Amino acid sequence: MIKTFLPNYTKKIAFALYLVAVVFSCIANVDSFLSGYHDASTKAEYNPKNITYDRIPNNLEKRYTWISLAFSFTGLLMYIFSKEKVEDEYMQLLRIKALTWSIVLTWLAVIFTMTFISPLEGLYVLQFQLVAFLGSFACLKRFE
Amino acid sequence: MQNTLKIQRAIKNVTQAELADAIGVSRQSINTIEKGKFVPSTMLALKFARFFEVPVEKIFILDEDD
Repeated sequence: MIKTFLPNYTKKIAFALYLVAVVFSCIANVDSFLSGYHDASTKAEYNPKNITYDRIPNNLEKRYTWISLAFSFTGLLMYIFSKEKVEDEYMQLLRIKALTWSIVLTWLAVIFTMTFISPLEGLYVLQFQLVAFLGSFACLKRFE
Repeated sequence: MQNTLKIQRAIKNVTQAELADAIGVSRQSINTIEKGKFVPSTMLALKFARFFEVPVEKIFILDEDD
């Protein structure tokens, strides 16, 4: 049984925190967006020696990434531990199913990224698992 | 396991939402129980029986292979 400690209205606060995390993440990755946009528009191969993108200094990038992660984890955990409008045993069953799905999805995502892209860092794996849990729970609630 | 929840509701003329409010569960739970996708706990089954004023066995019936 997964205990929900927080009232239903904290879901809205959690969502707002997650949006703040997305904004910080976008700011931290402005340089990556710019290089990606440039490479796509010029059809050139990425060559960091030719063009450097440094709108956001490196130390700020790191700081914003950490702030983004902190807001993201707080928001996601708050959302997970918030009660539904009507909390009953069926919701508990859906939570357990969603937890199972999130484990499977996380394993698949980690294996996929390790094989085809690059290994995921620990915190991003945890973040993915939280998102996978919420996504699975929402899908089960909607379609089951 | 089969159940006669839909029939009992029809007899008492209550909607899923009204039943859900009376029992203290979500309407979705009532829907999934009626469809046989979710088997409720003993406590919930007893609450249904008390609400419909019938024995639990009249609402929830075991199949031969259960």
